[in-house]
Amino acid sequence: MNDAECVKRCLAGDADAYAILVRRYQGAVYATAYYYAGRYNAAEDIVQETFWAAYRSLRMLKDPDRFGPWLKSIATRTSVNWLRRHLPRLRRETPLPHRQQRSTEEILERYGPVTTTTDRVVLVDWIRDAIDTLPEDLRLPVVLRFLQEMTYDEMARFLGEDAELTRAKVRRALVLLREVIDPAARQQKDDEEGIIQWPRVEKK
Amino acid sequence: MKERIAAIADGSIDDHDRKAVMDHVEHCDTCRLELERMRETVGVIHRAFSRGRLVADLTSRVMMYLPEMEPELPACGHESAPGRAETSGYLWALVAGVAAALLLVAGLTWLTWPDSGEQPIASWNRPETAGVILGLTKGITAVGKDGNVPIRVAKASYALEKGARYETGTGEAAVLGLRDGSRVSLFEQSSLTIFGDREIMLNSGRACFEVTHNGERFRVKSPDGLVTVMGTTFGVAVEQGRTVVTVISGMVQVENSSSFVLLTQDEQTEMGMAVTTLAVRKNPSDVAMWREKVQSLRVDRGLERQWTRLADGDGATRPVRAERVFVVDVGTRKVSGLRVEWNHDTVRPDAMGYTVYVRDGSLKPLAKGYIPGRVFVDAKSSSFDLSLPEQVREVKPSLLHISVVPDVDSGVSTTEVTEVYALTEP
Repeated sequence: MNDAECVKRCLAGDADAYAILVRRYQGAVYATAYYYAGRYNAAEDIVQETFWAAYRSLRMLKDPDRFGPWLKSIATRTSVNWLRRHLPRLRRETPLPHRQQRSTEEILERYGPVTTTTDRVVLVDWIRDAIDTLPEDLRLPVVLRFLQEMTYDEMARFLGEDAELTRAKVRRALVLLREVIDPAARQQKDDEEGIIQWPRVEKK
Repeated sequence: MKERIAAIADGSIDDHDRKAVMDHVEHCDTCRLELERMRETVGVIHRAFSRGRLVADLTSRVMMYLPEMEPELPACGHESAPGRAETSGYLWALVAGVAAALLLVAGLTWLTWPDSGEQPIASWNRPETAGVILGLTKGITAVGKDGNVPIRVAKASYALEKGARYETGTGEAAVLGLRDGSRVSLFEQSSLTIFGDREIMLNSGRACFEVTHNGERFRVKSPDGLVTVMGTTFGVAVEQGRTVVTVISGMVQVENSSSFVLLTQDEQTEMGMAVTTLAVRKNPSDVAMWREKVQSLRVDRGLERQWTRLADGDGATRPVRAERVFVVDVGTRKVSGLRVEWNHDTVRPDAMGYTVYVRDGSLKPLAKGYIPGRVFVDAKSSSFDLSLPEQVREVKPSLLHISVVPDVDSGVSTTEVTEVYALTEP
């Protein structure tokens, strides 16, 4: 049963059809929630809230074929609302949907370089911040791909774009991420661009 | 080329392209190194994400608490002259719509109410009912007090029984609504026993108690000690041979066999085998963590409303227990002990013992004493002397604040304590 059929059956009162949609999209919604609020262990709650809100306003969905992108917009809104509600209490951070872009230097200064022995907890923050260095439109595809190991067809259906485009985005993101994560690649990039590193001045 | 190599490392390239790139990589050292490193990068990203991945199926949890669908808005700009045929067509559509809506409501009711909604009310008046389960994540195991055959409870609205033990496994959690309107959030891998109204034993794991104020003490026991409160919110964690009590709001009294402390908001104390004197520390981050955890649990709203109504109605029949507070002005004299006096009425064999809590004028804990129940049974006496420890005598408080609280475990009948005197050194 495709998405449009499921939506139609939901609207006709068949709750089982909604269960099919939940099962189909929970991974994608979870990854979206994780991308925004993963560090506060809120992703599962946001999944629940998202599907709750989506069901409530299912009649507002204009084009049942585009259930995925519509759900994605609800997931984003729910995540941002969650952050707005809880973040002031959790941390003194500005709750913004577009998180602050980080620089490679900043990450290195904070966590040190990634090695095979890097502690997993540190690694999670490391990669999260590394993903924040990417251009906005590349971030969510990376999370969908590597957090939930979704196929490109699934991702495309959720993002509402062509699978080929999604694939290209992930590739581009990987090249960029490698430059952040891998010291050798950083060196290589600097050489290509003819940048000579000044010795960093330690703050006293 | 870099992006094609990335595609290989990601496994998202079709066979034809893959072959072409791999042929090249075999002959080009730079690209081979590039591929190797790209694979490492992909591995690192995978490793970072592997913990956060969603493995559980959330479908049933989502389906359990679906809202009602918002009604369709009336279509605007409908341009057709009213005619008989069309009117009837419209009417049919309306009837069909209503039928669909009814079906939907029925479906939803079934989802949120696997059982008839009257069930908790029906069993509420039974004296052994201790409350009701308001919400569940996955399920909970109930072990009855006599049968000892564990029952799996997979739905809310299940009535809690006094004397029964409730256990959660991995990934399971439950919200319990007690008779008096207090609410207990039981987190995963925890076990608690409900002894009676306002009396619970947390055997292991973590639970958060939101206690209503009704003039009677609410008691939470753990293997390491006892927590008594009037009406507050606090979390208790029992793990690895110790008990940590964290107060989220209000005031809580925590005691072990030798000492007691009072905790207020954001404060925490730890009890355990090795701990004799309880220490108080501030820990706002743990409080935030508890709040977060409590908020993460869902309850059945309809059930919660029913329960609130029932719990409110219970107030009239609540027994009053003989608990009293005395304030003794000592002045500058040095106090060596306390004399507790009571009315000696008809002798009943199983009198409760009394715990005596001594605090100074600013309610800072000083000492704790105990009067065993048999003292009250003895017809010859109507007073009992407690001596205060040496360090308290040194403090020289000018005012003593003494609470005399019955120890409900030790007996059945209460005794009315009439007066407490301070014994001074000559």
